[in-house]
Amino acid sequence: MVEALLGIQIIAVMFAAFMLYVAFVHRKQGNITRREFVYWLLVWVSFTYFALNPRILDPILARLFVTRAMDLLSIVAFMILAYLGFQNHVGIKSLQRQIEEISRNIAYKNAKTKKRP
Amino acid sequence: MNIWLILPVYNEGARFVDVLTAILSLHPHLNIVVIDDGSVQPVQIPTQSKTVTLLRHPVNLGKGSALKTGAEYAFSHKAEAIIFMDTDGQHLPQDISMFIHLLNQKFDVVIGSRRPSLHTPFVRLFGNKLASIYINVLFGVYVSDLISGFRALSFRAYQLLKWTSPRYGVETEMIAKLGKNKHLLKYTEFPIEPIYIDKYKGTSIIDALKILANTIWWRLS
Repeated sequence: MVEALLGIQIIAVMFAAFMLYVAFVHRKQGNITRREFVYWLLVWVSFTYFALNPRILDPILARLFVTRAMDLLSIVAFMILAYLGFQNHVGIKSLQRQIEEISRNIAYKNAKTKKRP
Repeated sequence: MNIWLILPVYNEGARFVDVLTAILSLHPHLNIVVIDDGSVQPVQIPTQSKTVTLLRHPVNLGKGSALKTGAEYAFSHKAEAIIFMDTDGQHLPQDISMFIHLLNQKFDVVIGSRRPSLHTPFVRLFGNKLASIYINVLFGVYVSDLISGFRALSFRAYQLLKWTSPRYGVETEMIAKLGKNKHLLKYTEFPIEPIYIDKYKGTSIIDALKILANTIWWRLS
């Protein structure tokens, strides 16, 4: 029996399609590697699959005492975001340190001292 | 004592030239390190400067990083103590003599604390006082002007207080570390005349909240 799509499912699929497009554009521009693209492809295809077939998650929902598939997806999404946020934080801090070090070395190398003759 | 003056500059334009000229007229023999922290218009040193070293960051790293660049440079050139001074004109070059005097008296940390006056914006006065009490509770050291950029450090103090804050948290981090090393360092503060120039420059409320969060980390680390 074919169930009518809910509004939230339509939004989820459109969002996944948009994110896939973003990943594709970045792959074309060479900003992400092929491996990273495949990773994001799997993430968004899986997301679309579960959004369209939430009943597949019913056994897991019962086991985890989660009422709705949407709740489970929200929890998983939050965990992924927290992980990515932490990864970004660590990456940015590391880059900041490297930029600071490089800038300081350039400043020392090009130091200009003025002395009165 | 071999004392160097560290001047961080970021987009100060003509104001910096006035400050430097005033310093040079009062202290012509002082070694000065100017750190241009990636200003849009690169800093130019006036030709009458006697011994001024200009270091330029290719990008803006923040005040904490600029101070560290200057401090590392000075100490690697045999400085025994350094004085930090803001270059937006809010500090008077006349006060440098007091820093030199106190450093020669073997103080490791000297802080020029802005004397509250009728011209002090209420929010700053209240916020600064509250921050001083908070830091005192957390680190056991009371400094009446926690975020004053006019301060001096001996080499020993620099080694113990070396900061990691790249931006405005640097002043508070130094005091927090001073609290943790207060049994090893001789410190003092003296009143300086406050000159408030830009209402929107310096530490913002957002910066203050970030610094507040960092204090917990500094306490635990």
